[in-house]
Amino acid sequence: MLHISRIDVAYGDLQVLWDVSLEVGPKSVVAMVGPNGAGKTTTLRAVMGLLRPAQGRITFMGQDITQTPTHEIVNMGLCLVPEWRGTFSTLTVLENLELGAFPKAARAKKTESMQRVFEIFPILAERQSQRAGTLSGGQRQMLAIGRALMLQPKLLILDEPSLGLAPLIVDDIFKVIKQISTEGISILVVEQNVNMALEIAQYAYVIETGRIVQHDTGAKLLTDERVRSAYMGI
Amino acid sequence: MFEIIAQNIVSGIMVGALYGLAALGLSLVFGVLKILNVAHGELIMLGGYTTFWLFNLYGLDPFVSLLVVLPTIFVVGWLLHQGLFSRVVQLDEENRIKNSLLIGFGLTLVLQNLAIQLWTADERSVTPAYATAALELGGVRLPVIRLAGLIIAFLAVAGLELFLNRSYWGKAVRATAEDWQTAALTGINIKTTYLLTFGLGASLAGIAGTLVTVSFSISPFIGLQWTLKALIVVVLAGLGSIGGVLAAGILLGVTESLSAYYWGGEYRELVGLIIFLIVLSVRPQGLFGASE
Repeated sequence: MLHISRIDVAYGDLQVLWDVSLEVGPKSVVAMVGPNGAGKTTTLRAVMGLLRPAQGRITFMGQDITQTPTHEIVNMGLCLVPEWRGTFSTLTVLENLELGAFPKAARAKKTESMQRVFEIFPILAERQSQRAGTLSGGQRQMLAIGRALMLQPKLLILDEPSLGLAPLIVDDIFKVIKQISTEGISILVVEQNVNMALEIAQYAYVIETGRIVQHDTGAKLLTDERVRSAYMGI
Repeated sequence: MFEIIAQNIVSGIMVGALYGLAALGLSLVFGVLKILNVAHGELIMLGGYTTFWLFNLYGLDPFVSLLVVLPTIFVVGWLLHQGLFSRVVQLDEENRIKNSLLIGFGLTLVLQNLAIQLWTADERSVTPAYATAALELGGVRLPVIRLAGLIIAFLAVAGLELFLNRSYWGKAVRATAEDWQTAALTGINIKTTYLLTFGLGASLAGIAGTLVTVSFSISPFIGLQWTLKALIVVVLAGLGSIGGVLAAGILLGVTESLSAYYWGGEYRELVGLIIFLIVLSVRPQGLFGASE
């Protein structure tokens, strides 16, 4: 579905990604793990067209999206919930969700998608007229995921969904991610919470200082010596 | 005595509504695109001359001419953004402001000289048959033209509020103002949103221009004074409140009018600037702006 092949990305003169390749197949959960500053978010920015790679190619559903504008990538069904949550704090919960269905195709299925989102996150239905800025961190993450679901994505990318959340809420969020994946939506999850990510991922990539250093099935990486000592303190 | 003060307040409200309307487009563009268009006053001038032309050449009523001014200046704004300002909106915030100022000042000169070529440097005004008509209300005189201007200013604010709060594209504009990256990730075409916003800001300037032409007069050189007035109102109001812009405009208009009455006409501009400085130092987010 998503093929990142050998991309180099630089901020001005500062190169931060070298030769990164990654693949997400249909109906799968893939994780990308690694320490802070390894280039995880940069990779996602390149995928979404917020940054352009200097080298390499990115394709989605067989189409080259390396130079495609962000909103068109989104319209194709590739959707990112960014690290900074990606909700509009001055808009209400309802308005945030409505905006989620901005592309024409999604707009037609708005009511249906909204019902689905409220089923997954009942709290959002309760808070629909509240401004997103007044929500708690966990609720805002739910809203961000809900907003992404309004687009009826084929592939959902989550950047650090556990960041800054209490462990109980993190459990909830990961349960939802699992649930979404069983409905046929592919997931690419990027995490510092390596344990959590590897547990739900069929396949995973380890990125360090801008390079993919290891990739294998989630289960294998979970028991891998190197990964365990570097990321789980075992 | 009381009647004179009331008259001054009422005149202040009517002029102030025009200040608010002049500032509305500037505030919208600044809030969404984070660029400062110092040629905003020139767009007001162009709107004014459009009305002047339609009145002089075709005898079209100035208020009816709004139906032409609105789309015309929208297109002018659209083109200016497409050709010039769209090149700076991708820059980081600091360079965006700086470069937009340079473009704006350049544009000011170009549009001024264009206006001199097209309409000469003479002062022009539009005087329909009802130019001097006025209503009397308890000893207070309400010139029909100014009153209509006041109503149009309120309608423009209401229309803009309605657009921003109810329509899909309006919400897209608000979303883009808050965070363009997240907006793009939501599937919103940022470039179109910017174009639309700039065009809207320009047409609001155009409406203000029509009202300036019927209420006062225009010349190719009125741009700067209106940009400054609009800038004062934008700072007074703060960002993020459409109604606040109109309220700040009216506040400025009334203050100017009263200070001119008490201390003489030469203090009119000064008092406005003093309030501007006080607000800037005591409440930098503006009177109606949300504090961070």
